[in-house]
Formats: sequence, C-alpha cells, structure tokens
Amino acid sequence: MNETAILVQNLNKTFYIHEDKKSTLRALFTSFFNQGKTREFKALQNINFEIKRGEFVGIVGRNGSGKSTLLKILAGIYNANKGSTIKINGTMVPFLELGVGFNPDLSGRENIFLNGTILGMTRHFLEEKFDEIVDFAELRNFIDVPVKNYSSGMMVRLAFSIAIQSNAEIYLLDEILSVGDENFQKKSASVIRKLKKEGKTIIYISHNMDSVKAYCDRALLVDRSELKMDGNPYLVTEEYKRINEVSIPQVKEATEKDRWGNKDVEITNIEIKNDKGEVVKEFKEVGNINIDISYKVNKPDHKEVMFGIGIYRQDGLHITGTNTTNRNIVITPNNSGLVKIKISNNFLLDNDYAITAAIFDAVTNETLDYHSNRYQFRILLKNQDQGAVSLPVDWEIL
Amino acid sequence: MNLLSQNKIDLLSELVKTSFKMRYQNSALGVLWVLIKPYSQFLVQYVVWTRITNFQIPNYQLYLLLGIIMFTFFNELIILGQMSLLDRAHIILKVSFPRQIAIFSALISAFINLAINMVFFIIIALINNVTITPFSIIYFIFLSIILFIFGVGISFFTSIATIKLRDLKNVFELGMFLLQWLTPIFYSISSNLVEGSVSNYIAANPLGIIINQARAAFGIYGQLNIPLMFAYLIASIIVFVVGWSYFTVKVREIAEYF
Repeated sequence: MNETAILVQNLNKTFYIHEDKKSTLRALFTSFFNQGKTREFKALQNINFEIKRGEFVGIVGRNGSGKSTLLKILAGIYNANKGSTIKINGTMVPFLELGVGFNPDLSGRENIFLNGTILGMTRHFLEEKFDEIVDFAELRNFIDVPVKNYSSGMMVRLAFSIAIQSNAEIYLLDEILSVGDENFQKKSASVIRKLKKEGKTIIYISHNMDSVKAYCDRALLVDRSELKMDGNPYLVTEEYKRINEVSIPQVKEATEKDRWGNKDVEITNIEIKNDKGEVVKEFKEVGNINIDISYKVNKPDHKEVMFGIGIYRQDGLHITGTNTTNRNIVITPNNSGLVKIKISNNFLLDNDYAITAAIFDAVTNETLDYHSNRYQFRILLKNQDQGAVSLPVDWEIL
Repeated sequence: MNLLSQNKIDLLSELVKTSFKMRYQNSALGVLWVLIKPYSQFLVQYVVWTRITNFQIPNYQLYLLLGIIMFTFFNELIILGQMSLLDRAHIILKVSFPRQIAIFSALISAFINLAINMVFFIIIALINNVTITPFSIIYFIFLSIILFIFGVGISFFTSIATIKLRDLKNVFELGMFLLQWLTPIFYSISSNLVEGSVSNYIAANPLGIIINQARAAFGIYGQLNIPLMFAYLIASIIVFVVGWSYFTVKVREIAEYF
C-alpha cells in the first residue's frame, strides 16, 4: 500500500496569452506592424505532492485557482513547463467530464460504444458489460432512442454508468459524484466506495465540501496557482471556506472602453516590473513597483505634455494619483520615448490593484491618451495592517 | 503508446462510424450523397466539355469520371485531414488518446467514400466493355494507398498548423480549387487545348500523374509506370514519417491553443 501512484514535483505551468490572438491571417499581418503583447499567466506554481496507491484524495479550490489545469496536466492533455516532474504509476482514466464525445444524434446504445472506446475500453468488453451498463443507468426502455431526446438526468446516468466500467488503477473524477437524483447518487456512491475497497487510487475534484469530507482520506487545497494546503479533509475544507470568505474578486479584464483620448501622443505599452527588471503581475517582496510607459508622438502639435498615473484598488477605491506637473517636471515629447516610474510597494496591503495611466497636453489639459485601470497587479506581502494603505510608522516605546 | 491495441482499433472504428453516420443522418438520400456529388459533377462537365470542345480522348466519359473520383478523394484527404483535430476538439480537450487516431479516422472516411464511388465506376466501366483484371484492382488500390499515406503525412502538419492559424482552412480550400484546374481531370496533357510550356508544368503535377496511372490501371488512357509509383510510395512514406515525428512532439503543446 505504500507504493507511489502519482508523484508531482516542482510542477509549473505558464500560459502565454496573446493579447490579440493571431488565429487569422489578417490579425497576423496587422500585429506584425503593431506588435501585440504576450502576457504570461502562471496557472500553477511550484506544486509538489505525492499520492500513494489506494488513497482517495480530494482537490478543492475556487474557480480559476488552477485545479482544472492541474487535472488536465495529470490527464496528459496539457504539457507542464520544462523542469516539472510528473510520474503516473499505473493505468489511469480521466473523467474530466462525463459523456465525452456523446453524440446527441446517436442512440444510447451507439453512444455506449463511442464513449466507452474513447474512455479506453474495447468493443468486446463493452458488449459483455452492455446489460450491466443499461441496467445501472435504468434506461432499458430508452436505449435505442437518440440521446438528444434524453433528459439531462438520463444523459448523466448513462455517462456515469459507462465511465465506471473502465477498469483502471487511477481515477481522476471531476465533480461526478453529484449527478442524478437522490436514488442514483446513492447507487453511484456505493460504486465509488467499492472502487476504494478494491484499492484504486482516486483523485476527486469537487466544490461540494460535504462529499470531500465524506469520501476523501486526504485533501489538497489549490489557491491562486499554488498548493496552499495538503492534509486532513476536515482541516482543508475549513481553510477553503475561510479563503472563500475573504476572497478578492478579480479586477475585470480591460477592454477598449477603458481607453480614450485623441492619441496625438499615444501610450504604446506599459510594463509593470519588479526591481530585477522582470515583468510581473504579483509582488511578494517589499520593493518598488516599476512602471515603464512607452509612448510615441503621432501629431507633433503638443509642445509640453503631462504624464499622470493612478493606482486603484479592485473595488474602485482610488489609492493614489500623481502627475508630472504636480511634481514640477516638464516633458517635451520626442518622436517616441520611455517614462519610468518607481513607486514603493510597501504601503499597499494584500489585494488586487490596477494602474491608470494617461497623457495630457500640459498647456490645454486636453486628454491625449487615457488608459483607465488597464494594468493589473497583485500585492501579496502578508502585511497585516488595517485600512486602505499601510503608512510608515515609527513606534517609540518609552 | 501502443497504437495497435484493441482499444485503439475499436476507438478508430467508432470514430469512423460516427462521422459516417453523422454526415448522412437525417438526410433523405443518405449515403447516396457520396455518389451524387462526383457523379453530378461528372454529368455537367461531360455535357459541357463534349459540346464545346473536342478533346479527342478515347473513352472520354470514363476518363473524366475517374479523374473526378480521384480528385474528390484527394480533396477529401487534404480537407478532412486538415480539420481532423479541430473537428474533434471536444474529445481531445477531455481525454488523452493518441491524437493520430483523430487523423486516421478522418481520412478513412475519405477512403470509404472512394470505395463506394469505385464500385459504381467499375459497374459503368463494365457496361462500357472495359475489361477489368485483378491487376487493375490491385494497382488501383496501390495508387490510393500512396495518396492515403501522403494525405496522412501532410495532415500531420496541416492539422496542427490550422489550430494556430484558422485562415489555413480557406487557404487550402482555395489551393484545392486552383489545383483542380491544374490537374488533367477533364482535359489531357496531350490534348490540343493545353499548349507550350504550361503543359510541361501540368505534366509534372504528381497528382495528375497518379490520376493518369489510375486510368492506365483500367486501360482507359496512357501507359503504366510502376517504378515511378514505387518512387512516389517512398516519397509518401518519407512525408508520413517526418510528419509523424513532428506531430508527436507538437500535438501536446497545441492543446492550449484550441
């Protein structure tokens, strides 16, 4: 029982998101002249865990925490970054979704063979198990009816009944124990318990904390791309509830509506960097937020311009704002240039923030290019101060 | 990864069956559509070309019909192969199975369509007093296998490229449309319509050469050139092998681009 079924070491997964996705030729040509930005999104960071044979492990986490990506990597659908180790010891069936490949126009009978072979079973095996599948799904009278005429309950019952026939050593179950009516749930629960008795390794992803506590020997909590907790399901589900209560809503994605101005002088790019000069979305160490604003001049009508910058919290609170005129800086724009801003991050509390940047004519105050809350970053300094900001405070104890 | 395990073979056959059923589900004429497309094309072209010009090609009706059937086959290999991954995205993003199966299943559909068309072609050929020997059949199957291997090899590249750049679907459809005119389907290289240096380029079109070999197999037109076809077979196998190794590396990186 002490054999390793799954070993994950130093698992990282980065998605590269093209700001305008070049999936058409036109986009490829236009972005050739107007270089689109590639954003890095770290979906999983430094995940390590080991699952022994026969363990029933729950994975919990909020939507977007990275748990689905983790499951897809385990299932072999996504590649992890180089340097990640993933060892799977034994045959595996991933049920990332019930009824994969179900074709609505085919009958229940035909879909049993289609879905079953997709899940790795042979036709011969499915013929042998056919009656068992149909009886378990309670669909004897409907098996030759196209599944598009099934109710959603009938559909998942059939899908579940096929899926549990697959005979593997490791099962990846994505939220499939809560399908069907109460009667069917009891039946499916007993099937899963039977798998557990047979010593199968089961990984179960769910938002239903009661079922995680009921089935799992152990649970993993994935939050913000990291493995936050690994252990007793009761403790892990408690922590999950706690995180949910204090959860920070994500800043909404930027759209063209968040930008205006006549673009006589245009902000071409903004990068948020740490002190090492790396483009980052998160600050975990005290240091500076380095904001690089690249601009270019489209119409040389403006002798003096003013750069402004603001920081907003995700709930819209204006934390701070300043501009070059306030600081008595005069900028005469060249054809193009770079403005670097350095702001210490240690006055910010853990939260998500967005940067607003803008260029104005310093004489007429005309708006040339205004980017409202388009650049987001997150502070994770574990500063426990209260309020909107944390000010430098000297305590003197006499 | 064992591609020849029983499950993989069963999966392949289920996918082929499903795509076949889906194409003709809820259609009154069903599988007849496989025939209607090339044969109606044949009828129109036959009427038009025999009225407006005189190619002086013996057995012109069989010459034209076989040309259309072969080109339809090649067109399906290229277009179905190119779309094979995208069309199966809903499965590929949920279950890990050898992705080559997606390509094979798409192209086997094209093969089945060819077989159905050929049954009728042979009947028509027999009515026209063409003697069909076992050699004709074997050589024809050999030629279709060359095209099939080439088609799979090309699809290893195009199916991946099309995921990253969706426009390739239109590019290939346009390309196939143009290729149709640059291939001796309704005309022949020796016919008086095609003259000068253009005819040299058209004569060098490998697809045209294979189609002419198919015609030669049934004794309709031209001479057999078996050594050349073996050379084509080897070239196709090279495309296949290179494509396979490209595909196995790239296909897992591609999942996040769907």
